[in-house]
Amino acid sequence: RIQAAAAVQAPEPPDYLDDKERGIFLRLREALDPVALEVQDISGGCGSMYAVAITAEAFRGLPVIKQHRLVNDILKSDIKEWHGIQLRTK
Amino acid sequence: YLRKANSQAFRHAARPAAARPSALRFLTPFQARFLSDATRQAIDQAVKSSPVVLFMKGTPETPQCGFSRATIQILGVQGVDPGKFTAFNVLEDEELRQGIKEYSEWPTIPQLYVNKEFIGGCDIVLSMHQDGTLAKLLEEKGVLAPMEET
Repeated sequence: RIQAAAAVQAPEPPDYLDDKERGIFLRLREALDPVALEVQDISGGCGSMYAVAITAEAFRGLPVIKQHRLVNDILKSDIKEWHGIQLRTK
Repeated sequence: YLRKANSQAFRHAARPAAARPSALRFLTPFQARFLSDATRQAIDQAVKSSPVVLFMKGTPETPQCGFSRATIQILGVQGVDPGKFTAFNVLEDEELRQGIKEYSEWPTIPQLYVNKEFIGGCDIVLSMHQDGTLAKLLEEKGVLAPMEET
């Protein structure tokens, strides 16, 4: 019963994600268990900048900056390689 | 409108009477990755140089990155007092560019500090601008330019 509830909540990675986007998507999903999650390469396919939007219970009560730090931490090794990241969390 | 980015201030703030420590040259790449005391102190000085401090790419007149440009524009629209603002150009100083990321524990540039407190990068500044919390913060901290008398 618990597994069924989790399957309903956790978003599935859309088909149109490329491999890198999918990797980021899955990693964020596993770490934050979000109810809404979007990952998009905004560097024209170069894999050097991403727009990420996350809605997660894990963020409740946290100031925005702490929410962003949480995500920065999860994606730490990726962000080092990137030119930038656009982050929206709630 | 806004004072030119002043990386000179960064160096002057850091450098004691003696020459800048060249110890960094002798560190292995592994050791050099950690924030040295000298760099940390230099950034401390930078962060307290003005009530509002922005670490950016390029200068306020010529930003070299869209996110830095957006942040400068927002501070302008908010009416930050130029006399209470200093910008540091991380592109002029590789040590600052890497050091500020460790210092703030924040991976990207630009980075906004108000009264020595880290506020955030472009995304956060933009959303605070949109929801009114930035205007409130800047007003509370007394960093806005005085309204002109009519």
